[in-house]
Amino acid sequence: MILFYGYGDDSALTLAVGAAQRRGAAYLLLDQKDLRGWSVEVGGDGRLGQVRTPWARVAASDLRACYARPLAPVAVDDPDLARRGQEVSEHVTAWLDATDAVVVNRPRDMHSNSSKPYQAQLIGEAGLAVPTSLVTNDPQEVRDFVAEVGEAVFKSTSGVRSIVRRVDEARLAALERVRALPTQFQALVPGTDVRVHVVGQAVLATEIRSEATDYRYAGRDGLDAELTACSLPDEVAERCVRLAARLGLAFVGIDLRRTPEGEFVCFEANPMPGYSYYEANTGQPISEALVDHLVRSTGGVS
Amino acid sequence: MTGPLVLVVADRTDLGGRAVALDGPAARLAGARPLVVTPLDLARARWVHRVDARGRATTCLGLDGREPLRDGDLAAVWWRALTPLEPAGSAAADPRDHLYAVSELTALVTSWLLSLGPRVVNRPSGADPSGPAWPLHQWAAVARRHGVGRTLPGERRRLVVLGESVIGAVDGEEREAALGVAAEAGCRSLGLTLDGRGRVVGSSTAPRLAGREELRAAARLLAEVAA
Repeated sequence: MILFYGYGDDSALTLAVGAAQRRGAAYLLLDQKDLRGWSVEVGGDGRLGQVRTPWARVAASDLRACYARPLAPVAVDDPDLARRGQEVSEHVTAWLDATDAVVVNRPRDMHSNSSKPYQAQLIGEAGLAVPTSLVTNDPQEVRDFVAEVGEAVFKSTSGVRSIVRRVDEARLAALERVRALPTQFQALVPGTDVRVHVVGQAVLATEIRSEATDYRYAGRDGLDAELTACSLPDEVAERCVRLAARLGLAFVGIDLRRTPEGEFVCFEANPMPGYSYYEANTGQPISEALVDHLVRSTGGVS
Repeated sequence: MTGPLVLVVADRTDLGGRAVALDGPAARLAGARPLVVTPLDLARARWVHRVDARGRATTCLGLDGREPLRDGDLAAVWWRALTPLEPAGSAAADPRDHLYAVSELTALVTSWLLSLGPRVVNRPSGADPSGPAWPLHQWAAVARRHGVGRTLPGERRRLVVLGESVIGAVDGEEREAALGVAAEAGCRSLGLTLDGRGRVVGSSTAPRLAGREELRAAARLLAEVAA
């Protein structure tokens, strides 16, 4: 049986559940947002023993695969339900890290993108190019860097989501602000964005055409983003698979940019990719590939 | 800069860690000079951290009153601090801004440490300069898998891994098991607290150092890393 875990209205989780239904795979959806009648039971050794649903009990040992998008327990007024939400979160997260079942992805393997330059070193080891970057709190170093690379952008150093912005004249004039906190600057990489989802050995690439510096926020700048399925050179696809393996992630969203010269530069790898945006816009069967991976990895859990 | 440095990042309250760096034989054995800094020293430092197109990182660190410190100046780095990296003055900021500033500085430091490779005592994760950032349940699961945790009725006990030394192990089997846990975690410094039933009830990648045996083992570890 496959366990789906996270917020029941999360579009990535919903798409995966739909794919499991179409395939006829046995599954259990543990919805962090609706735990009425649900609980988890822990054995004497402190490990997850079973999941009790309003209609059945499922032994943890029967859960042979899991797609998890664990988020913070939902705030509720009912103290009993709040406590249960916390318990479920703690015990399921522990199970995800420790179980022999196939887990996409284990929480313990999700830390590399807490630091972009840290992850960039791992990306480089996998054979993919990364943007030249500088993290500094010295304004003169930033000026020198911009003079060296031409155009530059800045973004968060950590995994905290930020909008990528260009270093323009106004930003250069306000550079003294970096003295308060080291900030990450990157050489602007011209070209077309390509989002790659790696699921096991499967590689699904999506090309994004947009005039925005950060296509995820194109709408805020009054711009559009057009998504189409595309293919990658074999060598690049292999490096993406190698990167996923290096990070210990069975499912990963990798952000590439194809330069006008045809080179591919990797910005980051997301260990909990919100793939629904790409699937909805292109019809690419990412959720099907995900469920296929879960089923095949366990020798056919359906 | 004259000669390599052994850098220990320790809180002011970490008397054991400071003693190992400043009083112990570690640095002298490796022909290196010791330097102890706090997270606040690093938060106040001038940072220039570059990553090239192949993912190779280099760093120049400017600590107050010192020559700039480059990667080649460092023979060993031991991150023992438990307090977060907080930019000066950020504690008074909006809580979200403060949290952001801590995350950003931590991300910078973990990247710096990763780039130093085996010269760092514990391999950092993206989220934690001192090790893999595993929650307690993860340490417990890994310890169980390696066979750590004999039932010894009575009070809690500590297992401290410092390089090849394991202090507090019941026997050779438990010593090997503890070394296995540390290796899986990428740690040469690790402390586990076990209850009477052998369950892991506490963990630290920068265990408190107390007593002559632990201080000696810590000094040996630093010397090995710096060699």
